[in-house]
Amino acid sequence: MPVRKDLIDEIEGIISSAAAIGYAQPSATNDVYENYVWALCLQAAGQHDAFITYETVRERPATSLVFRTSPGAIYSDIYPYTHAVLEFADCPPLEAHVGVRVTGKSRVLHECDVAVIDRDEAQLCRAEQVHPRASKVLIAAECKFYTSAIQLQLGRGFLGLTSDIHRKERYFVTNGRSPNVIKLIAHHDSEWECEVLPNSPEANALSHSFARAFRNYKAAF
Amino acid sequence: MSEEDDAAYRREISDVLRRHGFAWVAEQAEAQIAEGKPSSKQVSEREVPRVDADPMFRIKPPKRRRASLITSEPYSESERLEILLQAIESAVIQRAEIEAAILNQLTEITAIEFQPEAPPEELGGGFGTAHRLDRSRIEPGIELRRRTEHALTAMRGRDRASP
Repeated sequence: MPVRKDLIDEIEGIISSAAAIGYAQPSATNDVYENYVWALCLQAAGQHDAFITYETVRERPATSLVFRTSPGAIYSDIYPYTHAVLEFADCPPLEAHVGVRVTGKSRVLHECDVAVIDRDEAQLCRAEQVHPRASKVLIAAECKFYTSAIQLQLGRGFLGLTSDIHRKERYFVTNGRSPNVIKLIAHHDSEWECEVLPNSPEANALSHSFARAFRNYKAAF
Repeated sequence: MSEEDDAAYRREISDVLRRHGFAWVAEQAEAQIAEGKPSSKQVSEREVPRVDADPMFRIKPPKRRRASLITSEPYSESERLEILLQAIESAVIQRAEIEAAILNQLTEITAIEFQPEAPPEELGGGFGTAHRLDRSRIEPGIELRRRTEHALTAMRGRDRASP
């Protein structure tokens, strides 16, 4: 049976429309996915009655958000990059960032796609133009949006990262299924969540994990 | 539907993706296809008899032990085509859903900008270039999602009679 041209034409129609609204840029898809995981993190903070506000790198209130297209310095003010301030009753505030570098135990810089950091540390880093210490990062998530199975080297990279920035509350988050990568990460007792997509049970599970981290943080004060 | 037909569909769809700037989607699908399907295989491990055994004694036949090892099998052409269709689903439908979910959750935010720290001339191959997410994208995203679901369903039912 020959290839049906009507089917190929229909696919070409949607692919052309998708390109017209900017879906063809792979790094943009990753940026949007990191932003989604960040929003899940805020949702989890909200479950523990966090008062959430947004502010710029100069600590001015923000009504529209600006994020980096690739991980950078928490103090960079080339654009008014924004973060969320999470205030819980009776405990020190936190900040939720997208795409910032943090210093590992080995004093090497690592990139965190989503990072919840002590606000004191974040303010110190902005004032002194330095990178936050991993020990001051409550939650970190490595977010991977792939259209097919994730390659094993990304899992290996995540294990390397967690060995240097502490293992607790460090998450490998993906939109797809990656049995081999997950086997590897689970074997090393690290945290992961696959198929994290809107309205999925996995997104709820990740949100619950974040919420548990906030609950434990609050309980410590 | 023959294996050749599915291979021809995959080639044509890959060409469409490359023509419209989605080569990365085709490449990610190809990487998964190249890796093959991991599966378990039962194998017999045979013990090698010791060479210094006394020839006066009867050598026992080597023991066989069963072990489950991992192998990689090639995907069939229909599986390869399905990997590519799922990749389109992720690139278009999931992207539209994620954008809508962000804006629906951040109700007080009207727009999100993504800006590179590096100057444009330092960004390689368009990676990390500026883009924007705002509420005007939600409706086109929903419409695109509906059309994509229709196109992929039609493609998956390709062996049915043409319209």
